[in-house]
Amino acid sequence: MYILQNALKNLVRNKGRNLMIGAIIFFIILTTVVSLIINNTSSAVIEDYKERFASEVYITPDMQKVMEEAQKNSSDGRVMVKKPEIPSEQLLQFASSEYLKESLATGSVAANTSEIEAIDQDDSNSSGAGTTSIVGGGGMMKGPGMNGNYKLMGDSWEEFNEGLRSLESGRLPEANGEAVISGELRDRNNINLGDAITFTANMSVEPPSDLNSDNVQEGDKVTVEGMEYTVSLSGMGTVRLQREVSYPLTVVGVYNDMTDEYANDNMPKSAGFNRRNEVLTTLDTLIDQRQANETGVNVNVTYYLKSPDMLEPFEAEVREKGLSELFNVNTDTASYEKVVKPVEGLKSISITFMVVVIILGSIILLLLASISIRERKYEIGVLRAMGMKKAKVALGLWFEILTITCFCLVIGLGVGTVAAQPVSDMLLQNQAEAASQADSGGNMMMGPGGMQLGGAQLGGAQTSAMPLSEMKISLDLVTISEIIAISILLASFAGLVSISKITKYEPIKILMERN
Amino acid sequence: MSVLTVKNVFYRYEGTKKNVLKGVNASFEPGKVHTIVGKSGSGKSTLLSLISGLDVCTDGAIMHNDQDLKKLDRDEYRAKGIGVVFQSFNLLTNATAIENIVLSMNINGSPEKDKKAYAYALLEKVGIDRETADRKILRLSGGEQQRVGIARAISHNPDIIIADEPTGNLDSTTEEAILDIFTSLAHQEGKCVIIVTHSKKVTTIADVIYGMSEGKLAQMKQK
Repeated sequence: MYILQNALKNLVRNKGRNLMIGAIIFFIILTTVVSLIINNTSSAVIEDYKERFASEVYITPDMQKVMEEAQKNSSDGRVMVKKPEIPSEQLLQFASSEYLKESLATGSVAANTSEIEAIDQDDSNSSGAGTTSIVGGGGMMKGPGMNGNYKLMGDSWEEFNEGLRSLESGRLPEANGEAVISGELRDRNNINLGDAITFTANMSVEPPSDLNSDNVQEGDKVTVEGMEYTVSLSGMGTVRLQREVSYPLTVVGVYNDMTDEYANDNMPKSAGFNRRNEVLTTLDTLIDQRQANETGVNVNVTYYLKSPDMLEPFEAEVREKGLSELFNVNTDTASYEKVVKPVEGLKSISITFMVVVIILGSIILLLLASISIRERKYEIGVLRAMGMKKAKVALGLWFEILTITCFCLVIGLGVGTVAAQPVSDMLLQNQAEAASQADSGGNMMMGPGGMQLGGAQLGGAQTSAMPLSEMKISLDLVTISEIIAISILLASFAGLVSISKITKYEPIKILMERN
Repeated sequence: MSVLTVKNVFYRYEGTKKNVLKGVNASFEPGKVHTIVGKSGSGKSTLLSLISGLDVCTDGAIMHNDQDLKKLDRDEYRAKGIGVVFQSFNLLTNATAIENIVLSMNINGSPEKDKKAYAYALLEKVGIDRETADRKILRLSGGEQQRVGIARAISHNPDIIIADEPTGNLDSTTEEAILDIFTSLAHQEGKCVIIVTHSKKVTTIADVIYGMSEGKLAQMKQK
């Protein structure tokens, strides 16, 4: 106890020297606090974004391979680019993987009904529900389920979680065959809860290889795997087999939509694109009506990996389950890179700065401690001559440096916490500017956040993710523990070096030197 | 009955071949003032550093109560077995007189409950009043510092008090006062007092006088 008391008294007895040591320790601690707070917050942000971007799996068509495949299959020089699709059964099958944390499956079907009138009703849609044309590389192709006055949405509840939609009356579907409609659709058609509406949609099947425009005509009936389909022919002679399915749905709720009716002002005012015509039901309701070999229900499954590094085994698994080589399996690394790059830069700067300061600071502290101990050789000689053991002398010196460190730690933590936010803002702003300059300088960030087709997304769209320009700095327990550990190590280092130096001397030698 | 016996002690400094002490023999008894006199460089201070446990003899033995110092914990011996008064005082200069005494008592594990009160009493005994006791060492005169040194040396009530030129830096009045303290410690409190000195005046209070010359010690007077 007396050693601690004496150490505290010594701090006051040698104010000048201790203030100088304190100033150095304070500077090191302050820098460490700022750097560690920024570093740890950056790490948390990076981890968070990693989870958000690098865990969501995108299965996207490799357009290069699609084009090559189309060219290879062309016999008459005309290249027919056919939309690559992953069967919805397969998409759902992929979801049962041990590498996934979770998977969210949704679906949609373009549908029609003659029982009610849609918002912005387009009668041209009614005649052939569920057909559309997409211009491909050199040819036309028709896709099912892309048109219609209504869109039946399966398990599409995310917007309720996001607050974009809310339940106005009734409830959400709890069983297959139940649906919720928009308030506008209800008002236009005086629909009551419990009313039943039957929607129709078209399902398509791949035509048998021997079927072509030479041996069938528009409107012919063809049976494939026990189901009867109607033949339709595109302008380029492509045979399409379709059949109509019915969706009898009971209205159990009405939702209120907070968003605009159309996704953007440039969209044609057509019922098929109007969000108020979306009828929400369960995914099972939609897929129960179609055969396993049929397309028409646009199933989209979002997969979330347990960890970003599980992408490779997950890809191997889905390939084994039959995913075509025409598709790429990846995560949104482009968005991740773009958003997180400035934070990574900030983290790197803060760590480098901290390491440099700790090294330089330690050297200065070491020199200062050595000088200070040389000054105190006489005092130590006296204590040793009085019979104080080396260990106790050392403990006293360590207490002194530790007390100074603790004092600096308290002030350093306070000042550092206040200073960390503006320092972080300034550094992050510089990093964000550097990142955006690099971006506009020709480094186009390519990401998979593009158009969705048949449950997969087309790759190659420019990522819309914005670099992080603000970061809320906070001091957590881990950071405090790290700072305390570094401070104690620093104090012990300075103390030990001095102590090892002084304990080499015998008291008689110290006193003789002095005398 | 001696409390400290020096038996055929030789000493040479590290890295040298010449013996500074050449077969020194002496016996120090309680209740007596012993002085060691001799010219500068004769080996007096070296002998003192050996018997005060600050150094170890090259050959021979120094026995404290029949125990060889080489086998004892020298820190413990310095803290509890002896009290040393240095010529240059060797006090903690940025501490007060009272702090010096209390710290010494803490180091030697004094059982006194109120160490401060005991230290004030000790200082008063050697002629330092309360006000002076609360002053920093640097603000005290040489005589006052030496008194504090003596108080520190006796703060743990040791059997042996060793003093190296205790009056070397003092005027004659103060010298007399200091010598009175040593005499009193030996004759009234039964301490074994060993003083190394050049001063003839100091030898006048001695019960036993040893003469040191070229590393050899000889008893010159026994009262």
